[in-house]
Amino acid sequence: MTPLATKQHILDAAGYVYNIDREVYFNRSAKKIFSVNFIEDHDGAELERSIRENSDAREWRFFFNEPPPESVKQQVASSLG
Amino acid sequence: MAEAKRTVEDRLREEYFQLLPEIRRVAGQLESQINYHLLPVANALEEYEQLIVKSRIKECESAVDALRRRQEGASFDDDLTPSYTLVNLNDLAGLRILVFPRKRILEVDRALRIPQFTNPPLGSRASLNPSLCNNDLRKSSPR
Repeated sequence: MTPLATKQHILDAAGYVYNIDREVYFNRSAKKIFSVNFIEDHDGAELERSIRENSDAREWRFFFNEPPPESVKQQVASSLG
Repeated sequence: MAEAKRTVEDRLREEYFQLLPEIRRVAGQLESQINYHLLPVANALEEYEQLIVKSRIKECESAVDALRRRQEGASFDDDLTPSYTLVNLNDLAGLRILVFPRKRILEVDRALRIPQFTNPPLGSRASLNPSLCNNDLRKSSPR
């Protein structure tokens, strides 16, 4: 399993920042949100793959272990501004 | 006029205040039990030594926030409102034991290493183990 420090480095390098209130990493230009649970449970290669995945950059994409319901998506997205 | 929809947080706040008398009871009972078991240590203290037992109760907003942070994305799903409950938290009531000087810590630790406080919270052995607080609360939960 990839150490968390390495994953942190992967996220930092890709321009992701941490939101302490929702416990997620996000990148506004990529429109992607990774939950801490997802990051912990997936290895570095998978995380990098998810970061590289094409995004239409119009709506937030959520990388959670469990697909979040609409209400959670709205709360998380609105708290990120 | 349409009634404003209650949020998960609203319902949890209501639950908190329903639970509060029981949380207080558990904290008080736990504090008394700990004080009782620490009596031999307290009686042997020198004049300059201190042994303080303090109970604490989690604040309403801290409890709601702690439960929220357990969810992925630290957010409640509004459609799952009934499934969230504060009795899933295991630190609604807690105890802090302060001792001076440090060398007394071992005595305190020994005095509290009794099955009542060290057994895991399983089955019907619902005694006053600190980690049993939520079992106590679960039994008396209004739901």
